[in-house]
Amino acid sequence: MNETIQVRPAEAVELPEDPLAFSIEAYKRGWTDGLPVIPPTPERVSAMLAAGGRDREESLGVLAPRSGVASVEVVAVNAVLAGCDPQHFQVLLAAVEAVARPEFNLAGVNATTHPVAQLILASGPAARAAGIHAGSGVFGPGHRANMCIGRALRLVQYSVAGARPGAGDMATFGSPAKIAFCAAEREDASPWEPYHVDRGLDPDDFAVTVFPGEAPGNIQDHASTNAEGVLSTIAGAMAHTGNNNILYPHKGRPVLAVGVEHAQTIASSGYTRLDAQKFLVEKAYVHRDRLGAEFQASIKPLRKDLPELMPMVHRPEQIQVFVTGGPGKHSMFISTFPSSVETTVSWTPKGR
Amino acid sequence: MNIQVLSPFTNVHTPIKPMAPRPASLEGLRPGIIENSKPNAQLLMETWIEELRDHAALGELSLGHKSVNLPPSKELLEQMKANADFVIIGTGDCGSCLAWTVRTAVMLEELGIPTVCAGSHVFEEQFKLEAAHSGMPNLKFVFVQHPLGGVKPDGVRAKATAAFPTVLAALQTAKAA
Repeated sequence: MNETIQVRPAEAVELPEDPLAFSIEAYKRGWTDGLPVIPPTPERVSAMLAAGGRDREESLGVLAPRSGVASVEVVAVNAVLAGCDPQHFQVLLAAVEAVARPEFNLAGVNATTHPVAQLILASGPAARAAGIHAGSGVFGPGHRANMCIGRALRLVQYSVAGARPGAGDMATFGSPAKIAFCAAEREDASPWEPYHVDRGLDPDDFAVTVFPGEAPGNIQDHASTNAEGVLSTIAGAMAHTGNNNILYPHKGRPVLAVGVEHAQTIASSGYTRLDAQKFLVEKAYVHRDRLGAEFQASIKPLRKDLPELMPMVHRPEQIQVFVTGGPGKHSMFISTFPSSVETTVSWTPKGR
Repeated sequence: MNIQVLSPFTNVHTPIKPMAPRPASLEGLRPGIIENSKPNAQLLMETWIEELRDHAALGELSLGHKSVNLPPSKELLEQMKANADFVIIGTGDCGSCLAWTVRTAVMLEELGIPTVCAGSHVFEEQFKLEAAHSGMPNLKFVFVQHPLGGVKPDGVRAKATAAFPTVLAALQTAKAA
Protein backbone atom coordinates (compact mmCIF):
# COMPACT_ATOMS: atom_id res chain seq x y z
CA MET A 1 0.00 0.00 0.00
CA ASN A 2 1.36 3.41 -0.94
CA GLU A 3 0.96 5.86 1.90
CA THR A 4 0.51 9.51 1.04
CA ILE A 5 3.46 11.46 2.36
CA GLN A 6 2.54 14.95 3.41
CA VAL A 7 5.12 17.64 2.66
CA ARG A 8 4.92 20.80 4.71
CA PRO A 9 6.63 24.04 3.67
CA ALA A 10 9.72 25.07 5.60
CA GLU A 11 8.90 27.33 8.52
CA ALA A 12 10.06 30.95 8.27
CA VAL A 13 11.63 32.46 11.39
CA GLU A 14 13.44 35.69 12.30
CA LEU A 15 17.05 35.36 13.44
CA PRO A 16 19.92 37.83 13.91
CA GLU A 17 21.51 39.15 10.74
CA ASP A 18 24.98 39.42 12.30
CA PRO A 19 26.95 36.35 11.07
CA LEU A 20 28.30 35.29 14.44
CA ALA A 21 25.03 35.91 16.27
CA PHE A 22 23.19 34.00 13.56
CA SER A 23 25.49 30.99 13.80
CA ILE A 24 25.25 30.92 17.59
CA GLU A 25 21.46 31.13 17.49
CA ALA A 26 21.31 28.46 14.77
CA TYR A 27 23.46 26.22 16.93
CA LYS A 28 21.21 26.75 19.94
CA ARG A 29 18.26 25.70 17.81
CA GLY A 30 20.00 22.50 16.76
CA TRP A 31 20.41 23.51 13.13
CA THR A 32 24.15 22.96 12.82
CA ASP A 33 26.99 20.54 13.49
CA GLY A 34 28.80 23.19 15.55
CA LEU A 35 30.52 24.93 12.65
CA PRO A 36 29.27 28.31 11.42
CA VAL A 37 26.42 28.31 8.94
CA ILE A 38 25.07 30.54 6.18
CA PRO A 39 21.59 32.05 6.78
CA PRO A 40 19.06 30.22 4.60
CA THR A 41 17.17 33.30 3.47
CA PRO A 42 14.22 32.71 1.14
CA GLU A 43 16.27 34.22 -1.70
CA ARG A 44 19.22 31.84 -1.19
CA VAL A 45 16.92 28.86 -0.87
CA SER A 46 15.09 29.88 -4.05
CA ALA A 47 18.37 30.10 -5.94
CA MET A 48 19.27 26.62 -4.74
CA LEU A 49 15.89 25.28 -5.78
CA ALA A 50 16.18 26.83 -9.23
CA ALA A 51 19.45 24.95 -9.77
CA GLY A 52 17.90 21.69 -8.69
CA GLY A 53 15.21 21.70 -11.33
CA ARG A 54 12.80 19.82 -9.06
CA ASP A 55 9.49 20.72 -7.46
CA ARG A 56 10.19 22.20 -4.02
CA GLU A 57 7.32 20.16 -2.57
CA GLU A 58 8.58 16.85 -3.94
CA SER A 59 9.54 14.28 -1.33
CA LEU A 60 12.86 12.54 -1.88
CA GLY A 61 12.04 10.01 0.81
CA VAL A 62 11.37 9.48 4.50
CA LEU A 63 14.62 9.40 6.46
CA ALA A 64 15.22 7.21 9.50
CA PRO A 65 15.32 7.26 12.43
CA ARG A 66 13.07 10.31 12.83
CA SER A 67 10.96 9.48 9.76
CA GLY A 68 11.60 13.02 8.56
CA VAL A 69 10.21 13.93 5.17
CA ALA A 70 13.10 15.01 2.93
CA SER A 71 11.40 17.54 0.71
CA VAL A 72 13.43 19.19 -2.01
CA GLU A 73 12.86 22.48 -0.19
CA VAL A 74 14.18 21.38 3.18
CA VAL A 75 17.22 19.81 1.52
CA ALA A 76 17.82 23.18 -0.15
CA VAL A 77 17.64 24.91 3.25
CA ASN A 78 20.28 22.55 4.61
CA ALA A 79 22.40 23.07 1.50
CA VAL A 80 22.44 26.82 2.10
CA LEU A 81 23.29 26.33 5.77
CA ALA A 82 26.23 24.11 4.80
CA GLY A 83 27.57 26.72 2.39
CA CYS A 84 26.70 25.00 -0.89
CA ASP A 85 26.57 26.81 -4.18
CA PRO A 86 23.55 26.18 -6.41
CA GLN A 87 25.81 24.18 -8.75
CA HIS A 88 26.28 21.64 -5.95
CA PHE A 89 22.60 21.05 -5.41
CA GLN A 90 21.86 18.30 -7.92
CA VAL A 91 24.59 16.12 -6.47
CA LEU A 92 23.14 16.65 -3.01
CA LEU A 93 19.61 15.81 -4.16
CA ALA A 94 20.88 12.57 -5.71
CA ALA A 95 22.77 11.72 -2.53
CA VAL A 96 19.65 12.20 -0.40
CA GLU A 97 17.66 10.03 -2.79
CA ALA A 98 20.39 7.39 -2.56
CA VAL A 99 20.39 7.15 1.23
CA ALA A 100 16.59 7.07 1.32
CA ARG A 101 16.46 3.83 -0.67
CA PRO A 102 15.67 0.72 1.38
CA GLU A 103 18.85 -1.12 0.45
CA PHE A 104 20.95 1.64 2.03
CA ASN A 105 19.31 0.76 5.36
CA LEU A 106 19.47 4.26 6.78
CA ALA A 107 17.79 3.08 10.00
CA GLY A 108 20.83 0.94 10.66
CA VAL A 109 23.45 3.28 9.22
CA ASN A 110 22.32 6.26 11.26
CA ALA A 111 21.62 4.45 14.53
CA THR A 112 24.63 2.17 14.72
CA THR A 113 27.36 2.42 17.35
CA HIS A 114 29.76 1.64 14.46
CA PRO A 115 31.20 4.97 13.19
CA VAL A 116 29.60 4.82 9.75
CA ALA A 117 29.57 7.97 7.66
CA GLN A 118 28.12 8.48 4.20
CA LEU A 119 30.70 8.86 1.45
CA ILE A 120 29.39 10.62 -1.64
CA LEU A 121 31.22 9.71 -4.85
CA ALA A 122 30.30 11.82 -7.86
CA SER A 123 31.13 10.30 -11.21
CA GLY A 124 31.44 11.55 -14.75
CA PRO A 125 29.87 14.86 -15.72
CA ALA A 126 28.15 15.18 -12.33
CA ALA A 127 31.49 15.66 -10.64
CA ARG A 128 32.67 18.17 -13.24
CA ALA A 129 29.46 20.19 -13.17
CA ALA A 130 29.58 20.50 -9.40
CA GLY A 131 33.33 21.19 -9.31
CA ILE A 132 34.07 18.27 -7.01
CA HIS A 133 37.78 17.76 -6.50
CA ALA A 134 39.52 14.44 -7.17
CA GLY A 135 43.21 15.19 -6.68
CA SER A 136 45.47 15.76 -3.69
CA GLY A 137 43.52 15.98 -0.45
CA VAL A 138 40.40 14.55 -2.05
CA PHE A 139 38.94 13.53 1.31
CA GLY A 140 39.61 17.00 2.68
CA PRO A 141 40.15 19.64 3.70
CA GLY A 142 40.57 22.36 1.16
CA HIS A 143 37.99 21.88 -1.57
CA ARG A 144 34.76 23.75 -1.27
CA ALA A 145 32.41 21.49 -3.23
CA ASN A 146 33.67 18.39 -1.42
CA MET A 147 33.33 20.00 1.98
CA CYS A 148 30.01 21.76 1.46
CA ILE A 149 28.17 18.92 -0.30
CA GLY A 150 29.44 16.38 2.21
CA ARG A 151 28.50 18.62 5.09
CA ALA A 152 25.07 19.32 3.61
CA LEU A 153 24.26 15.61 3.49
CA ARG A 154 25.31 15.37 7.14
CA LEU A 155 23.08 18.34 8.07
CA VAL A 156 20.20 16.59 6.31
CA GLN A 157 20.87 13.56 8.53
CA TYR A 158 21.00 15.89 11.49
CA SER A 159 17.85 17.94 10.95
CA VAL A 160 15.67 15.79 8.69
CA ALA A 161 16.63 12.22 9.68
CA GLY A 162 17.15 13.16 13.33
CA ALA A 163 20.54 11.44 13.53
CA ARG A 164 22.06 13.42 16.38
CA PRO A 165 24.99 12.17 18.42
CA GLY A 166 23.63 10.24 21.38
CA ALA A 167 20.03 10.47 20.18
CA GLY A 168 19.38 8.97 16.78
CA ASP A 169 23.07 8.56 15.97
CA MET A 170 24.53 6.21 18.56
CA ALA A 171 28.07 6.01 17.14
CA THR A 172 30.28 5.29 20.13
CA PHE A 173 33.00 7.60 18.91
CA GLY A 174 31.48 9.40 15.97
CA SER A 175 33.90 10.14 13.16
CA PRO A 176 35.56 13.06 11.41
CA ALA A 177 34.10 11.53 8.24
CA LYS A 178 30.68 12.47 9.60
CA ILE A 179 31.54 16.15 9.18
CA ALA A 180 31.95 16.07 5.40
CA PHE A 181 32.76 13.11 3.13
CA CYS A 182 32.49 13.74 -0.59
CA ALA A 183 34.85 12.97 -3.46
CA ALA A 184 35.16 12.57 -7.20
CA GLU A 185 37.08 10.02 -9.26
CA ARG A 186 40.33 10.64 -11.11
CA GLU A 187 38.83 9.64 -14.43
CA ASP A 188 41.68 11.47 -16.15
CA ALA A 189 44.29 9.19 -14.59
CA SER A 190 42.43 5.96 -13.94
CA PRO A 191 43.47 2.94 -16.01
CA TRP A 192 39.97 1.54 -15.62
CA GLU A 193 36.56 2.70 -16.68
CA PRO A 194 34.75 5.08 -14.32
CA TYR A 195 32.98 3.60 -11.34
CA HIS A 196 29.50 4.49 -12.61
CA VAL A 197 30.26 2.82 -15.94
CA ASP A 198 31.32 -0.31 -14.08
CA ARG A 199 27.84 -0.20 -12.54
CA GLY A 200 26.19 -0.25 -15.94
CA LEU A 201 25.75 3.45 -16.66
CA ASP A 202 27.00 5.37 -19.68
CA PRO A 203 30.10 7.53 -19.37
CA ASP A 204 28.02 10.65 -20.00
CA ASP A 205 25.46 9.84 -17.32
CA PHE A 206 25.32 12.11 -14.29
CA ALA A 207 25.69 9.78 -11.33
CA VAL A 208 26.24 9.81 -7.60
CA THR A 209 26.93 6.83 -5.37
CA VAL A 210 26.72 6.91 -1.58
CA PHE A 211 28.68 4.35 0.42
CA PRO A 212 28.05 3.50 4.10
CA GLY A 213 31.71 3.93 4.91
CA GLU A 214 33.94 4.60 7.87
CA ALA A 215 36.71 7.17 7.79
CA PRO A 216 39.37 5.95 5.35
CA GLY A 217 42.49 4.16 6.53
CA ASN A 218 45.76 4.66 4.74
CA ILE A 219 47.71 2.00 2.84
CA GLN A 220 51.20 2.96 1.77
CA ASP A 221 53.46 0.95 -0.51
CA HIS A 222 56.40 2.84 -1.97
CA ALA A 223 58.31 -0.24 -3.03
CA SER A 224 56.23 -2.56 -5.17
CA THR A 225 56.65 -2.43 -8.93
CA ASN A 226 53.86 -4.80 -9.97
CA ALA A 227 50.23 -5.61 -9.28
CA GLU A 228 50.93 -8.56 -7.04
CA GLY A 229 53.11 -6.46 -4.78
CA VAL A 230 50.75 -3.51 -4.40
CA LEU A 231 47.69 -5.72 -4.05
CA SER A 232 49.36 -7.88 -1.43
CA THR A 233 49.97 -4.78 0.65
CA ILE A 234 46.37 -3.65 0.13
CA ALA A 235 45.03 -7.09 1.02
CA GLY A 236 46.96 -7.04 4.25
CA ALA A 237 45.58 -3.65 5.18
CA MET A 238 42.01 -4.65 4.33
CA ALA A 239 42.06 -7.69 6.59
CA HIS A 240 42.26 -6.90 10.26
CA THR A 241 40.57 -8.08 13.42
CA GLY A 242 37.91 -5.86 14.91
CA ASN A 243 36.82 -4.77 11.45
CA ASN A 244 33.04 -4.91 10.99
CA ASN A 245 33.36 -6.46 7.54
CA ILE A 246 34.98 -9.55 9.03
CA LEU A 247 31.64 -10.48 10.55
CA TYR A 248 29.77 -10.73 7.26
CA PRO A 249 32.07 -11.77 4.38
CA HIS A 250 29.07 -13.00 2.39
CA LYS A 251 27.45 -9.58 2.16
CA GLY A 252 29.78 -6.77 3.25
CA ARG A 253 30.84 -4.35 0.51
CA PRO A 254 34.01 -2.55 1.57
CA VAL A 255 35.46 0.29 -0.46
CA LEU A 256 38.96 0.61 -1.89
CA ALA A 257 39.97 4.08 -3.05
CA VAL A 258 43.05 3.27 -5.12
CA GLY A 259 45.63 6.01 -5.48
CA VAL A 260 46.59 6.97 -9.00
CA GLU A 261 50.14 5.66 -8.73
CA HIS A 262 49.05 2.36 -7.20
CA ALA A 263 46.38 2.00 -9.89
CA GLN A 264 48.92 2.56 -12.63
CA THR A 265 51.29 0.01 -11.12
CA ILE A 266 48.47 -2.53 -10.83
CA ALA A 267 47.35 -1.90 -14.41
CA SER A 268 50.92 -2.10 -15.72
CA SER A 269 50.82 -5.81 -14.87
CA GLY A 270 47.78 -6.18 -17.10
CA TYR A 271 45.28 -6.23 -14.26
CA THR A 272 41.75 -5.04 -14.88
CA ARG A 273 39.59 -3.80 -12.00
CA LEU A 274 38.03 -7.26 -11.84
CA ASP A 275 41.46 -8.93 -11.75
CA ALA A 276 42.39 -6.74 -8.80
CA GLN A 277 39.13 -7.57 -7.03
CA LYS A 278 39.70 -11.31 -7.59
CA PHE A 279 43.23 -11.05 -6.19
CA LEU A 280 41.92 -9.31 -3.09
CA VAL A 281 39.22 -11.92 -2.50
CA GLU A 282 41.97 -14.54 -2.43
CA LYS A 283 44.50 -12.61 -0.36
CA ALA A 284 42.52 -10.42 2.03
CA TYR A 285 42.01 -12.78 4.92
CA VAL A 286 42.51 -12.89 8.65
CA HIS A 287 44.11 -15.91 10.20
CA ARG A 288 41.59 -17.44 12.61
CA ASP A 289 44.14 -17.66 15.41
CA ARG A 290 44.30 -13.88 15.55
CA LEU A 291 40.78 -13.89 16.99
CA GLY A 292 40.11 -14.67 20.63
CA ALA A 293 38.15 -17.83 21.44
CA GLU A 294 35.05 -15.98 22.63
CA PHE A 295 35.04 -13.73 19.58
CA GLN A 296 35.36 -16.79 17.35
CA ALA A 297 32.43 -18.40 19.11
CA SER A 298 30.31 -15.28 18.76
CA ILE A 299 30.76 -15.02 15.00
CA LYS A 300 30.32 -18.69 14.17
CA PRO A 301 26.56 -18.29 13.68
CA LEU A 302 27.19 -15.36 11.34
CA ARG A 303 29.82 -16.95 9.15
CA LYS A 304 28.59 -20.55 9.17
CA ASP A 305 32.18 -21.72 9.28
CA LEU A 306 35.48 -20.37 10.46
CA PRO A 307 38.19 -21.50 8.06
CA GLU A 308 41.77 -21.12 9.17
CA LEU A 309 42.11 -18.27 6.67
CA MET A 310 38.99 -16.13 7.01
CA PRO A 311 38.26 -14.08 3.85
CA MET A 312 37.02 -10.50 4.17
CA VAL A 313 34.63 -10.98 1.25
CA HIS A 314 33.47 -13.94 -0.78
CA ARG A 315 32.98 -12.41 -4.22
CA PRO A 316 35.06 -9.92 -6.27
CA GLU A 317 32.14 -7.60 -6.97
CA GLN A 318 31.67 -7.00 -3.25
CA ILE A 319 34.81 -4.82 -3.22
CA GLN A 320 34.00 -1.34 -4.49
CA VAL A 321 37.01 0.00 -6.36
CA PHE A 322 37.59 3.48 -7.74
CA VAL A 323 40.64 5.63 -8.42
CA THR A 324 41.11 8.99 -6.77
CA GLY A 325 43.61 11.23 -4.99
CA GLY A 326 46.82 12.99 -5.96
CA PRO A 327 50.47 12.05 -6.42
CA GLY A 328 51.90 9.56 -3.93
CA LYS A 329 52.06 5.85 -3.41
CA HIS A 330 49.04 5.56 -1.16
CA SER A 331 45.56 4.05 -1.32
CA MET A 332 42.72 4.13 1.19
CA PHE A 333 40.61 1.31 2.57
CA ILE A 334 37.13 2.18 3.77
CA SER A 335 35.36 -0.38 5.91
CA THR A 336 31.61 -0.33 5.54
CA PHE A 337 28.45 -1.09 7.45
CA PRO A 338 27.90 -4.66 6.27
CA SER A 339 24.09 -4.56 6.32
CA SER A 340 23.92 -1.69 3.87
CA VAL A 341 24.42 -1.61 0.12
CA GLU A 342 26.00 1.38 -1.64
CA THR A 343 23.42 3.10 -3.80
CA THR A 344 23.79 4.89 -7.12
CA VAL A 345 21.41 7.54 -8.43
CA SER A 346 21.72 8.90 -11.94
CA TRP A 347 19.86 11.70 -13.64
CA THR A 348 19.63 13.77 -16.78
CA PRO A 349 20.01 17.52 -16.27
CA LYS A 350 17.43 19.78 -17.85
CA GLY A 351 18.17 20.74 -21.42
CA ARG A 352 20.25 17.69 -22.26
CA MET B 1 18.65 43.57 13.24
CA ASN B 2 16.92 40.33 12.27
CA ILE B 3 16.50 38.62 8.94
CA GLN B 4 13.98 36.07 7.78
CA VAL B 5 15.35 32.56 7.28
CA LEU B 6 13.85 29.14 6.66
CA SER B 7 14.09 26.32 9.19
CA PRO B 8 16.02 23.16 8.22
CA PHE B 9 13.57 21.00 10.14
CA THR B 10 10.79 19.09 8.50
CA ASN B 11 7.59 17.29 9.29
CA VAL B 12 7.67 13.60 10.10
CA HIS B 13 5.80 10.74 8.50
CA THR B 14 4.85 8.49 11.39
CA PRO B 15 1.30 7.18 11.17
CA ILE B 16 0.33 5.87 14.62
CA LYS B 17 0.01 2.08 14.61
CA PRO B 18 -2.14 0.06 17.03
CA MET B 19 -0.53 -2.38 19.44
CA ALA B 20 -1.75 -5.91 19.94
CA PRO B 21 -4.13 -6.39 22.87
CA ARG B 22 -2.54 -8.04 25.92
CA PRO B 23 -3.97 -11.28 27.29
CA ALA B 24 -5.30 -11.47 30.85
CA SER B 25 -3.12 -14.51 31.42
CA LEU B 26 -0.25 -16.29 29.69
CA GLU B 27 -1.73 -19.67 30.58
CA GLY B 28 -1.53 -22.01 27.62
CA LEU B 29 0.07 -19.46 25.29
CA ARG B 30 2.95 -20.28 22.97
CA PRO B 31 6.06 -18.15 23.45
CA GLY B 32 8.29 -16.92 20.65
CA ILE B 33 11.84 -15.66 20.73
CA ILE B 34 13.55 -13.78 17.96
CA GLU B 35 17.27 -13.58 18.54
CA ASN B 36 19.43 -11.35 16.39
CA SER B 37 22.84 -13.02 16.86
CA LYS B 38 24.07 -10.48 19.42
CA PRO B 39 26.19 -12.20 22.07
CA ASN B 40 24.05 -13.67 24.87
CA ALA B 41 20.77 -12.63 23.24
CA GLN B 42 19.38 -16.12 23.06
CA LEU B 43 20.48 -17.06 26.57
CA LEU B 44 18.94 -13.91 28.02
CA MET B 45 15.57 -14.47 26.42
CA GLU B 46 15.49 -18.23 27.04
CA THR B 47 16.09 -17.47 30.72
CA TRP B 48 12.96 -15.35 30.71
CA ILE B 49 10.95 -18.09 29.01
CA GLU B 50 12.07 -20.51 31.72
CA GLU B 51 10.99 -18.04 34.37
CA LEU B 52 7.67 -17.44 32.62
CA ARG B 53 7.02 -21.19 32.76
CA ASP B 54 7.06 -20.88 36.56
CA HIS B 55 4.13 -18.48 36.26
CA ALA B 56 2.05 -20.16 33.60
CA ALA B 57 1.87 -23.41 31.65
CA LEU B 58 3.26 -22.19 28.36
CA GLY B 59 3.10 -23.99 25.05
CA GLU B 60 6.00 -24.90 22.81
CA LEU B 61 8.68 -22.26 22.20
CA SER B 62 9.15 -20.98 18.65
CA LEU B 63 12.71 -19.81 18.18
CA GLY B 64 13.42 -17.45 15.30
CA HIS B 65 16.59 -15.86 14.04
CA LYS B 66 17.09 -12.55 12.30
CA SER B 67 20.00 -10.56 10.99
CA VAL B 68 21.25 -8.13 13.57
CA ASN B 69 20.61 -4.92 11.71
CA LEU B 70 18.28 -5.71 8.85
CA PRO B 71 14.51 -6.06 8.55
CA PRO B 72 13.02 -9.47 9.37
CA SER B 73 12.36 -11.90 6.56
CA LYS B 74 8.80 -12.54 5.49
CA GLU B 75 9.32 -16.17 6.53
CA LEU B 76 10.25 -15.15 10.07
CA LEU B 77 7.13 -13.04 10.46
CA GLU B 78 5.03 -15.91 9.11
CA GLN B 79 6.72 -18.31 11.53
CA MET B 80 5.82 -16.13 14.48
CA LYS B 81 2.31 -15.46 13.24
CA ALA B 82 1.70 -19.21 12.94
CA ASN B 83 3.47 -20.43 16.06
CA ALA B 84 3.70 -17.73 18.73
CA ASP B 85 1.10 -15.99 20.86
CA PHE B 86 3.66 -13.54 22.22
CA VAL B 87 7.26 -12.73 21.34
CA ILE B 88 10.38 -11.51 23.09
CA ILE B 89 12.85 -9.99 20.63
CA GLY B 90 16.40 -8.82 21.11
CA THR B 91 18.78 -7.75 21.86
CA GLY B 92 19.32 -4.09 21.42
CA ASP B 93 22.66 -3.38 23.00
CA CYS B 94 23.96 -1.28 20.15
CA GLY B 95 22.44 1.33 17.86
CA SER B 96 21.62 -0.54 14.66
CA CYS B 97 20.54 -3.75 16.40
CA LEU B 98 18.07 -1.85 18.54
CA ALA B 99 16.76 0.06 15.51
CA TRP B 100 15.75 -3.19 13.84
CA THR B 101 14.66 -4.78 17.11
CA VAL B 102 12.14 -1.97 17.51
CA ARG B 103 11.04 -1.92 13.90
CA THR B 104 10.55 -5.69 13.86
CA ALA B 105 8.58 -5.52 17.11
CA VAL B 106 6.30 -2.92 15.54
CA MET B 107 5.64 -5.30 12.65
CA LEU B 108 4.82 -8.12 15.08
CA GLU B 109 2.45 -5.90 17.08
CA GLU B 110 0.71 -4.96 13.85
CA LEU B 111 0.27 -8.68 13.19
CA GLY B 112 -1.50 -8.91 16.52
CA ILE B 113 1.35 -10.51 18.48
CA PRO B 114 2.15 -8.93 21.87
CA THR B 115 5.87 -8.27 21.82
CA VAL B 116 8.50 -7.03 24.20
CA CYS B 117 11.87 -5.67 23.05
CA ALA B 118 14.95 -6.56 25.08
CA GLY B 119 17.86 -4.19 25.35
CA SER B 120 20.52 -2.85 27.65
CA HIS B 121 19.80 0.11 29.85
CA VAL B 122 22.22 2.62 28.35
CA PHE B 123 20.14 2.60 25.16
CA GLU B 124 16.76 3.18 26.83
CA GLU B 125 16.25 6.67 25.37
CA GLN B 126 17.18 5.49 21.88
CA PHE B 127 14.65 2.63 22.15
CA LYS B 128 11.92 5.09 23.05
CA LEU B 129 12.92 7.45 20.27
CA GLU B 130 12.89 4.66 17.68
CA ALA B 131 9.49 3.45 18.88
CA ALA B 132 7.98 6.92 18.73
CA HIS B 133 9.41 7.51 15.26
CA SER B 134 8.06 4.13 14.16
CA GLY B 135 4.52 5.12 15.10
CA MET B 136 4.26 3.02 18.27
CA PRO B 137 5.30 5.20 21.23
CA ASN B 138 3.92 2.77 23.83
CA LEU B 139 5.85 -0.24 22.59
CA LYS B 140 7.00 -2.43 25.48
CA PHE B 141 10.64 -2.76 26.52
CA VAL B 142 12.69 -4.61 29.05
CA PHE B 143 16.13 -3.31 29.89
CA VAL B 144 18.91 -5.21 31.58
CA GLN B 145 22.04 -3.71 32.96
CA HIS B 146 24.53 -2.91 30.22
CA PRO B 147 26.60 -4.63 28.89
CA LEU B 148 25.40 -7.94 27.52
CA GLY B 149 28.40 -8.72 25.36
CA GLY B 150 31.49 -9.99 27.12
CA VAL B 151 29.47 -11.39 30.03
CA LYS B 152 29.63 -15.00 31.23
CA PRO B 153 26.43 -17.11 31.28
CA ASP B 154 25.83 -16.79 35.03
CA GLY B 155 26.06 -13.05 34.74
CA VAL B 156 23.56 -13.04 31.88
CA ARG B 157 21.09 -15.14 33.87
CA ALA B 158 21.40 -12.81 36.84
CA LYS B 159 20.68 -9.81 34.65
CA ALA B 160 17.66 -11.61 33.21
CA THR B 161 16.25 -12.48 36.63
CA ALA B 162 16.61 -8.90 37.85
CA ALA B 163 14.55 -7.63 34.92
CA PHE B 164 11.98 -10.43 34.85
CA PRO B 165 9.08 -8.52 36.48
CA THR B 166 9.18 -6.07 33.56
CA VAL B 167 8.85 -8.92 31.06
CA LEU B 168 5.82 -10.28 32.84
CA ALA B 169 4.16 -6.88 33.04
CA ALA B 170 4.84 -6.14 29.38
CA LEU B 171 3.08 -9.26 28.13
CA GLN B 172 -0.13 -9.25 30.16
CA THR B 173 -2.88 -6.82 30.96
CA ALA B 174 -2.11 -4.58 33.94
CA LYS B 175 -4.70 -6.37 36.03
CA ALA B 176 -3.16 -9.78 35.40
CA ALA B 177 0.37 -8.58 36.07
